[in-house]
Amino acid sequence: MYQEVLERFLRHKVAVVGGVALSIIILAAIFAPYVSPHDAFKQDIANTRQPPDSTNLFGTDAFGRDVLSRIIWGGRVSLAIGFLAMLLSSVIGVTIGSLAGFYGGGAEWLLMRLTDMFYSIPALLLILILVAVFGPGFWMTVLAIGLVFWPATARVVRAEFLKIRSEPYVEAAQALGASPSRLIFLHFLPNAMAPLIVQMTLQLAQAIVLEAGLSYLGLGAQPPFPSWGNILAEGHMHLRTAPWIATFGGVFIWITVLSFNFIGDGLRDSLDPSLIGR
Amino acid sequence: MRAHVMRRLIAAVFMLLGVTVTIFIIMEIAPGGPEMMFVAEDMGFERVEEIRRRMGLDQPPHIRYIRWVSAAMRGDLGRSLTGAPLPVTSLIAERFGATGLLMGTSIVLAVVFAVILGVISPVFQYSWLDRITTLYAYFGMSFPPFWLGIMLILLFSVILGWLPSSGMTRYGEELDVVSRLQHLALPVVTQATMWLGVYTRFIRASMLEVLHSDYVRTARAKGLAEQVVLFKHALRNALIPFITILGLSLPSMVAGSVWVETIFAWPGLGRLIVQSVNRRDYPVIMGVCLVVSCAVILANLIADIAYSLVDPRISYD
Repeated sequence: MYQEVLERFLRHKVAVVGGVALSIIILAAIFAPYVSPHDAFKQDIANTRQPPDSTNLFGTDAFGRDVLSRIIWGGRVSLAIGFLAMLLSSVIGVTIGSLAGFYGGGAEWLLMRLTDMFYSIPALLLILILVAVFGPGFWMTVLAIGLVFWPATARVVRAEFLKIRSEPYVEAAQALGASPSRLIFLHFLPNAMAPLIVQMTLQLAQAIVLEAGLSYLGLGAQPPFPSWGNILAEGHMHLRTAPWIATFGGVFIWITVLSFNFIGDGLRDSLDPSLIGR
Repeated sequence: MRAHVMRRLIAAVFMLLGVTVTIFIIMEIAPGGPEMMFVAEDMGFERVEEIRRRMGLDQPPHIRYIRWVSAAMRGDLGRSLTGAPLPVTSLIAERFGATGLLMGTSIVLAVVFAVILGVISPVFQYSWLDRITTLYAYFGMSFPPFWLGIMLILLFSVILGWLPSSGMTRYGEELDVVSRLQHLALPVVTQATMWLGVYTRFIRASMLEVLHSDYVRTARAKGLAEQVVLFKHALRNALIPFITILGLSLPSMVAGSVWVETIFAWPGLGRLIVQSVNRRDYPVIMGVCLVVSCAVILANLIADIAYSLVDPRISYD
């Protein structure tokens, strides 16, 4: 089965391009100390706001630091926050969606109204309240994004569970006396995996944009640690004298998000061929 | 029909209840507490108790919640903690128009263009126009709004010098329509670009589905003019589900306007909340969140009722 999925995915050209681009960005972020051409933190007052040239490919910032190196290091923070936040929201979303979809009845009604509620409050506002109350920072950003992002996942999981609930193999397992936890983990979740993976991919992209947006507002990861968002904020400040900072800083966010969206599309088509064209 | 509207109304009331409780709980578990704004280090215990009593903080949480909500319903959201202690409601009222103008113009612009592109592109399915539209929908959706805004400033105000990069008016200037439109241009384009992508994608898919339906085939078989088929039969039906999408996109649109207003120094609610978060001005944050959430829930309620009104095929009873 995995062989087939992989083959179909590889035939999806944009998804492959997205995958390659993303792999490069992720690898660069992981091996930042080895691949960044210059020291991302060392200030060089004699060399501030230099336009891109052969030594500083993307130019230097207002403190004379190499922009490319800062983007590579910034990828660490941005990708890590995006990934962890997605993980947290998936755990919450899968738990709530599973319970609602599996048990049905009053529990489902209550959980889904809770989901609707979180869906209708603008997520960014809730995040801003949380950050205002507890102060910004790496873990706060993960927590805040994770805590408000789960409703979409919960909806996807519940919808899948509803479909699976009436499948013959579930009835068979129930007739054999399978416990609820066995049913959920062995029968329901594996069969809900395809849409869940797609959902997680798309959410990772959204979480990265949100993180960048929060650090742009100065409410995410805090300097001197570079993140894509605060590189962008700095670039905006020096837009007239050093436009390359904001330009290159944003290009990386954009490519990353675009790649995730492409991969999500490719995964959707390859995991469930019946959905192609929808 | 009436039963459906009633059900939605009740659901909306419960949602509002949930929203207020959520905001209240977060503020409740905040370290310190609202009184910390007024407490100095050398104050005695009794003095602090006195402040707490005067702020009503010695009451149990449920009483304070009820007080807060009933005051909010009377239009009293408390006063700003920083700067001049202005009532939160007047701060919000002051900014509401600016946000409304920005969001309203962006939505209208995005919907108009999305309908045009969404109708034309499926008619010429697989043509270059269709391809460009789908491609655009993809790229537009992936643009981080804050980056797009900065890049537009770079191009149109720094390099070309055609448009102002921030604010609503020039300093010390009377209201002038041309200048207002110039200031509006970049923020609106930034906001509309993202939504144009999402909307176009949806209308295109919806049109494609409708164009392959039986009643469109019947209309064509009757020998109706193609325009009549397209606009009277197909478009009308394709737009019905779009009402829901429009309602559902509101929360993210609010998020988008927080960034757009910050980038372009647009004096609206989004900028107000970012400033208040930086100053930890709790009453203002709570007030803005409450007002915006209410507006979103109300808009969704209207979208939902409109949906059942325009599509007689849908019955809920």
